[in-house]
Amino acid sequence: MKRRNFVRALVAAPVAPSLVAQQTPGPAAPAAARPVEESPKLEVATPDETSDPLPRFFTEAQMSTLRRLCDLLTPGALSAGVPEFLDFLVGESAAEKQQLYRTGLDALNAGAKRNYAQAFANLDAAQAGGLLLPLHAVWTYEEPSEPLARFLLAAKIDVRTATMNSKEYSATSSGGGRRGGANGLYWYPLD
Amino acid sequence: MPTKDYDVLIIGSGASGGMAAYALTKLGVKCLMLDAGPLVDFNRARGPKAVYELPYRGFGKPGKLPHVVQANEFNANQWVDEKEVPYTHDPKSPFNWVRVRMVGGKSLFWARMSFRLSDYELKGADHDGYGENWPISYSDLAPFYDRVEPIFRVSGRKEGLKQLPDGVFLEDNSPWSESMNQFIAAAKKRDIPVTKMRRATGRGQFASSFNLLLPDAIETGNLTIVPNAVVRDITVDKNTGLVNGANFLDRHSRREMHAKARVVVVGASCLESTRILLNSRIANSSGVLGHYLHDQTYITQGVQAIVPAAKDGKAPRGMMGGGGYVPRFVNLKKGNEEDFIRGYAFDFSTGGTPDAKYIPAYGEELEKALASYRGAGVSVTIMGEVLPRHENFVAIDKNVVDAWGIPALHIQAKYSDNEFKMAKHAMNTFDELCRSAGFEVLAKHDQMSPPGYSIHELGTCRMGNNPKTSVLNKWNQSHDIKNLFVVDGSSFVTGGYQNPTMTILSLSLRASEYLAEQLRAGNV
Repeated sequence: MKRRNFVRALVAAPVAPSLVAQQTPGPAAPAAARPVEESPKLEVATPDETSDPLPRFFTEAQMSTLRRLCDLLTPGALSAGVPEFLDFLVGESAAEKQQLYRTGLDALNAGAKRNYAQAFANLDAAQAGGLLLPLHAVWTYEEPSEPLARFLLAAKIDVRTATMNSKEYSATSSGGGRRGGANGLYWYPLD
Repeated sequence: MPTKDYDVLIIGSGASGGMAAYALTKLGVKCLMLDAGPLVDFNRARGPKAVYELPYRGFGKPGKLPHVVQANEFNANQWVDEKEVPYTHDPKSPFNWVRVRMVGGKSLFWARMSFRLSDYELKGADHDGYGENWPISYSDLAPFYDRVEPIFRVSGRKEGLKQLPDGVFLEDNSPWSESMNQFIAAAKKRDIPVTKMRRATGRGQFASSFNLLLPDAIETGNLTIVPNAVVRDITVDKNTGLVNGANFLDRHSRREMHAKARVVVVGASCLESTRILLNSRIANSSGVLGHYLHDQTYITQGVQAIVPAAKDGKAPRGMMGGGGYVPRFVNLKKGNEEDFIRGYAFDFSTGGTPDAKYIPAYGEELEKALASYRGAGVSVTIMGEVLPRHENFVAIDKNVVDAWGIPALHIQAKYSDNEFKMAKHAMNTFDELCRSAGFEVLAKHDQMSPPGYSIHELGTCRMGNNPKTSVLNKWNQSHDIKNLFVVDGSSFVTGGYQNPTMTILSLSLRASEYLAEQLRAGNV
């Protein structure tokens, strides 16, 4: 399913009936039963559910590479809009992280062209795997010196976290439960 | 009933300031308490949200709290904003200064780990020749621990260990899980003790000055709390040389005020108290104010292991779960020393799931491995003693001020070879214990978090018998100014490996009762 359809399906199911109910005029409407002073709980949607992000940070080639990489790193990452979210997050981050992502994505694409004469975005999983070997290295506290390896290790965690923390993931059977940081107590700015 | 006539001005409302108020007001002393932060209505300040509702999907706004590793996008607003209250350090030697400004202070958020120091710490110099002894011994402090622990309702198991004295506990008789028993058996072969975590259970959702100390103090009718009062400096009577109050600014309007009292008790947290004294240019005839900064080293997830029998969801009920605490076991006996001095502790648990970063895979393969390891993990935080050293210090940075125009701190702290050697020893020991217990070790490291990470800053206003080498006497009273007391962690001489809160509370209780007696006798 294309991402937008996936999201539409999610939005449509729970929200539509209540919207219809609120808009139906006539004496049968249950509004009269509601105490006047009640603060109604209105259902709202997130921007991601209703609108398309405008990628601004990565180049088109980097974005294509990132989309393919996200799909390889975490199942469901594309449905969760992770490439577009990372375009925003990395664009807001410190120069060091921006550089890590830009050079990493460029290196993946260059590696694909060198080894397979095509863009990383077009590689199959086996071909791409040849470029993702650093992700099979045993973990060490010290980051690898090679920038591509450093990028891949960071992207692996970022992509997975962005997926698990998405509304799309929370709506799946494995999400929304005890795992990950699905819900929390939010601190508003202090008075 | 508010007045402008107070016996004691208490600066800070956390563990140390709160205990000072609790002790002094019960003895009839009229106290005014200033706190730099607001009085928080927790039902209004916090609310449930889904992570996907947060603007940065839980990653947090990049660059908002670069030194607060503990912060996340949910709780970012509970910490002091680093731009509002800045501090400086050498870029190559980071110090993570983690702060909370609200009535109750950091005692609202602490991990509640509740330990006593022993004479291995209080008389450490006698044991291994390094540094200074405290001017008090365990027998001086024990009666105060005895009274603090029941207030905070500390749970624990009595073990009779000299290096971690037992307390007045809510006895923890819970059974160990099977995986914990495997670890304990492996530790026993090496004469390494394992006990239940000692933790303040508090009441309701808090184990804080906010709910356990301040309400009792207010009930006496002798405590007035003023929130949002940012203290700039302590004022001195030019004729007597004694302190007579403090200048503060309203947090919102920045209006300047002066609070007057016969005695000043500072409990604003180690480094904030030191900053106030340095900005006041008082209590430093020794020249050591700001020096001997130490905390505790933290190695988070120093070893990540798996209990093989618990993989793939096969753990029977009772195999996994629970945590344990291994107190210092090295360098206790003369003639059996390691290549470092002092010691460390393990805080470990079984039953978690390892982070994805430890698994050398991605995509479906990674998800399968994580599913297999779910609930089968063993993880440890290693906490080690940091040697107090003169060259680790704080001073006023004349070029930087906070949002209220108050000069900021410059912090200089580095760990030494002793801490590095201890870290390696700790990592290897836990690794060996895991393997000996039959666990599979996935990853290990001995990289300590930057200084400050533990949120256990100590020592910058230390006590001692000699006024030339210490700021306070053994009653937390300034050697230079007899009506000035500092009752927080800045008064520590050494910190040990133990979380300091119970000791801070006990020192504050002891100092405050001494102060009340001095007031009664007309000595201050």
